[in-house]
Amino acid sequence: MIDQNETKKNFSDLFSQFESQLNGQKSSTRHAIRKIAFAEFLKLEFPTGKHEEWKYTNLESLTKSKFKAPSPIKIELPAISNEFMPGAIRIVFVNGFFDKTLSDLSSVPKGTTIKPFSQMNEKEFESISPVFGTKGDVFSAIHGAFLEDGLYVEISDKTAVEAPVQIIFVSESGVLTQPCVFGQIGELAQCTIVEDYISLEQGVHFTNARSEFHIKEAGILHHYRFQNENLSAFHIGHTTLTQEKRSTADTANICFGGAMTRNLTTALLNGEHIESTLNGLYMPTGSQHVDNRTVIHHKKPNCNSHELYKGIMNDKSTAVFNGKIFVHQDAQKTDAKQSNNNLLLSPDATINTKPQLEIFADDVKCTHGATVGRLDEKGMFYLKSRGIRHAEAQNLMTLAFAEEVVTKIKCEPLRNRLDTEIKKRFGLEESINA
Amino acid sequence: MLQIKNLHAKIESNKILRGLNLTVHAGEVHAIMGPNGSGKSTLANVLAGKEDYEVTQGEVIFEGKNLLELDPEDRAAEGVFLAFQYPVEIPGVNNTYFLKAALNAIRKYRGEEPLDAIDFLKLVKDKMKLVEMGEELLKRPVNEGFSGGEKKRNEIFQMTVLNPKLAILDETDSGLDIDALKIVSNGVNKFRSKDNATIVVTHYQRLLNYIVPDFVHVLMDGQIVKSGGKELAYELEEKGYDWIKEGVLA
Repeated sequence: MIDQNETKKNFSDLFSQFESQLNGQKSSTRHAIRKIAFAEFLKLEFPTGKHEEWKYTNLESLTKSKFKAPSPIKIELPAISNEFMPGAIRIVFVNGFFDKTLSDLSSVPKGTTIKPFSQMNEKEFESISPVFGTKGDVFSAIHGAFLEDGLYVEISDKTAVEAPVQIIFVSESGVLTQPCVFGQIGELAQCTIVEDYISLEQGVHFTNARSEFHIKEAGILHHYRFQNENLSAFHIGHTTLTQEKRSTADTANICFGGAMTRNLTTALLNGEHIESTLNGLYMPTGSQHVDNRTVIHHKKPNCNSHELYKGIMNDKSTAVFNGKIFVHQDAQKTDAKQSNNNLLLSPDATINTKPQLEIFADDVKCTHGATVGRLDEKGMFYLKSRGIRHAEAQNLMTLAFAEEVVTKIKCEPLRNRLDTEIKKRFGLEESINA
Repeated sequence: MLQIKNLHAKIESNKILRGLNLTVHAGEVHAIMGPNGSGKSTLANVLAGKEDYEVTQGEVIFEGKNLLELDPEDRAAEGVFLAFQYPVEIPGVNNTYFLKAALNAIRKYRGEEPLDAIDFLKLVKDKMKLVEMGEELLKRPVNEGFSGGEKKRNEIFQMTVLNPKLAILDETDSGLDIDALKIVSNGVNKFRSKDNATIVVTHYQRLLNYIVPDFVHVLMDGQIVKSGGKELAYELEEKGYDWIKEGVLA
């Protein structure tokens, strides 16, 4: 049972502690956002299993945990340098605070603004502040109330940023952080953004992340999210993609870490001829729980959306996939494809998968499919008939299952990192793609 | 090398092999021919250890060992190789990695040191020439997007790298044009030696123009009903299978 009053009291105490650490921000726009959000938070409740959307994800252990307000700490480079992608524009946030020493903004091209909120002046921040409005849910209220730093990315019209932008959010044990990315991709502009979520050490912490992207006409955004926090972490991640006509959003949501992860990705297809790809890969082990939800709104005609979420379930892990697609009345000639494929490697693992389509237009193509299964027998026999031992054949087949999502990622340094990470998990040799 | 005695096998409730006998010595090539549904592919798959088939009677002795008691991977390590009629696509697993994993698993089973990357590549490059495999196929995932001919060439290529004692070719000629057929046959002929044996399972005599067998067996209703030399294949090509059926029934 969630004790709403007790939990609210804990967060109120935390808020007082947080406010007392703020220096000279009392009259700032940021603080106004916090106060509004905190007032909102007090009116809201933590959802329980009675809420349809939260039927399979239990917040009890999150609400019973106590967190501390984050403060900036110094960390040594080697602690996280393994995660750095060669050639990337890199921005590192430690406990939610921008860390200049660990970041590398030397190759930011012309026509591109990449700026932490903490380096914006009052006027600049005010201009982006409408995005922080709370959305009537308890986690966006917490996000607003404890808002600290974040990243603003703006790619001007007709600008292609070649180097991937890697944003690393690293947290120490015990903290509550509110990572935040707000990006505007201009007309005919193009860029790749990789969000990395990692833990500095073992121990419970709570990451409550929020990213918002606005892609203008014919703009292209590749957005990849790699959650690899420790196995005690709580992670809530909301990503919203607002797309204008002829734009492309190509995304992947990779969930490896966390005791409890809950992601919501929303794509608003506001114009015609939009391409939107929402892919995901989750590989929970032990007693990990991962809940991925996607919401796609087809509002105008002639748009395509593609969804491929794949899960590899081990041990006593649990996962949820809920994919909603709304095809509005105006959205004729919509082509929406959704699939969620799961591999159950253990008899004790559980997956709850649910496609949800609401279609108000008549000339549309919508397909969805969910599979829950074991390894392909034909492939297993083929590998074994060549002398490969059963356990290794199993690992290779599992890897092959995961690769379908990885190969679709259009960012080579990230693909390499994921390959290495996945192989490490299966105890396979590095040189698989040599 | 291989003695099959009174082998009975079924899949679900269909009895397919009904008392099959066959002896193969090192250095020999045996062709198994027969009409569709006679049990040719079943025999190939039973020898490789496919679990869908249940052996209900009989025994298979390979190099003095009871083959039917071994798992598929142990059979491969003992030296049995099946070239699949329908090679399986395995997206996400690189062809070279797969082959190296297979070769080193077999070496380990035999108590040999694994080949390092350099020696492995040298071996692979030698064998690639035999079946005229392009290097780009090695970098691709196993069989994914390969044409029918490329898949069959990949089977024979794997065979030459793994160098088995007994190779079973299951309808390797199906779906091949004449050029691919020559390339594949050439690979098999270079593989042939006095120390190994090959069982060629085929529906048509065509392949046997290129891979010349020492023995031809006719399989019908799960039994070998007639055996002979390579001339038997020509006779079958000319007259079909019906005359044998009549002979058996008579």
